[in-house]
Amino acid sequence: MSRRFFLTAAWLGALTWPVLGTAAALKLALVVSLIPAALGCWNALRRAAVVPCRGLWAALEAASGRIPPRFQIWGLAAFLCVAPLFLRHQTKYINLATDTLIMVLLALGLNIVLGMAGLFMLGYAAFYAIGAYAFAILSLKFQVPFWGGLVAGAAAAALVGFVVGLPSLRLRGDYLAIVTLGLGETIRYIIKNEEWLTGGTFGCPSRPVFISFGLEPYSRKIGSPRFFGWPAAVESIHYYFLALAMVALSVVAMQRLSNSRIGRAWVALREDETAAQAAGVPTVWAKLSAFTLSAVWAGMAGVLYAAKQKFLAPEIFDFNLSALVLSMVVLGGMGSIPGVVLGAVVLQMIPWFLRDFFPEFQNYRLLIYGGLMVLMMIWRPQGLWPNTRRKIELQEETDAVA
Amino acid sequence: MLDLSGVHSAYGPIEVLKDVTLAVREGEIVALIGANGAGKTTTLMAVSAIHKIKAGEILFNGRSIADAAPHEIVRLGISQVPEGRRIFPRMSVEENLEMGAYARNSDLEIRKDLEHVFQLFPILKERRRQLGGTLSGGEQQMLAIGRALMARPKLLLLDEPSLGLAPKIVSQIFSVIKNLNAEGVTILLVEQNAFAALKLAHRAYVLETGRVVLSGEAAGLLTNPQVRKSYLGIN
Repeated sequence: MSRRFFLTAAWLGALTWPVLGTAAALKLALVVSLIPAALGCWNALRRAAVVPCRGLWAALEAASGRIPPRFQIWGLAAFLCVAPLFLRHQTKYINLATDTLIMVLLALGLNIVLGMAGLFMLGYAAFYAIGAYAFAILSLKFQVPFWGGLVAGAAAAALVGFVVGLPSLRLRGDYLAIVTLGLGETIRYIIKNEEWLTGGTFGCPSRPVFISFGLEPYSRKIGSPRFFGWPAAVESIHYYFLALAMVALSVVAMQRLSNSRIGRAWVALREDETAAQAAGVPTVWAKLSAFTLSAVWAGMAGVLYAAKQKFLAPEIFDFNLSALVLSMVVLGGMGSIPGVVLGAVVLQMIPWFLRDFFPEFQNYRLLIYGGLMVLMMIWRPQGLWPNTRRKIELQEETDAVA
Repeated sequence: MLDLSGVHSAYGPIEVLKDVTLAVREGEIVALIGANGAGKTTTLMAVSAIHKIKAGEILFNGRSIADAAPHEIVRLGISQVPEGRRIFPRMSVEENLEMGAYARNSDLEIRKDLEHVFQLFPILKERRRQLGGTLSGGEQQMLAIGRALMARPKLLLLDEPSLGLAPKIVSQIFSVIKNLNAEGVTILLVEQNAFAALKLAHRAYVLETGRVVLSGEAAGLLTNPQVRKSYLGIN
């Protein structure tokens, strides 16, 4: 093994010598030839660390097991509600948290088609864009207030989801993925080119007219904006709470959806389409409803984004965003609601974490994403928090019977 | 009850059913036998409307069903046990059975039928919480039949229920089929195992490269020299 690395190092050094020069080529060769030694150290370290780590993990698990899950959830909710009030002068953190919550909404929406119904969708950003632009245009040109815009944005996305879904849902697997990829690009180009409506590459501002929601915007009389009487430097704090409420409602809705009749039909569809047909599931309708419902969530997330950001640029809604949301669902665990939330939070936090703590690695963000995904697929293909509900449920029921 | 006349069906340019005419009368067990690729499974898929036909007519109780959607067929009272069982592997036994009743609404009736299926196959009751994919082949076949029965069919389409099962299980499943028929379920059975199928059925059709080449009383076909030579391997 070490001889192979040594040979590789010599070969690499010889290869790069004309380009890099003697010193750099030697350095490179040295680094490569040291890999076996480094691996040895790493292995030894891992072996030494494994026992204490396991112990720590077990202790953590035991500790969290002692607190009933209901308190854990309420504790988390209380933390998410109270913490921002103390951070209310920190625009950065509030914005980060709000963006994360919007991404959670998006990931939850994609989870309907991808996780529950097993349909591969690659152009999800299109629906997000439609929701966002629908809201921006309506608020700018017709002074539609936020709640009306929310309904309209969701409806617009749903309509496009339905219309596009109608012909394309005859396709299975990869072909559907390609069609949705095309849809994503098409929508983006329409937004870029129809300047009279969307502002094209110049972007599109939005004017959210807010029905209070506890917020008093900046005015001469009261000075800084206030949130339920609290002075807050950030006007966007109420978007944070709005997003938080929407995520909470969505999680409940998803939970109910996955246990509902249509949720069952989606699972059957994912498991075996032909068998689902033979069992009497109206498959076209089931697929179409998954597609449309998932578009509704993207539309709502888009509206929230447009209202909070107050300015839309078409570049945001590119394939990278679709891929990012897809990675969130896959990384967290397809079909698992807490998993998808976790996946979205982790992937949204990585760039911020790098920027704030390791600025020198910031440019390697995509590389780190990629590496993370590869490692996940090798060691934990089912996701960070896989869908074990069913398994646990079955286990508990057998225990109760016995 | 079920009438197929002049049914043509194709996968792309390849014609599979070239002219299938057959009839199933209420209360019968009708067997459809033939070699691999003769079009047996395609015939059932055509009746279930999962694979649409190119020409011909399919009537169920005098009503044309060739243009209906698969779930409407189930609602009309035709359910299929597909080839290779095709149960939902990551759903529990009970959930699999509930999926079979997807087209129905009355919870009370569904519960009753669930108990009935458990009566027919007691092993499924024992394993009701287990995931479908963890069952043995025979149990999966029972589950597939149970799932089809949960739609409370008037006509049950069975595709190769003996496929890959031990002889003992096969005879158990065949006796359940016989009992179901005695309870009033009409059955169209597709089988490779021609001998067992002909012994069970009232009438049978022999399919060869997309055409019905022989038909008649099952007992008569059992003694037909052509059938004995080609499908039973007896001279």
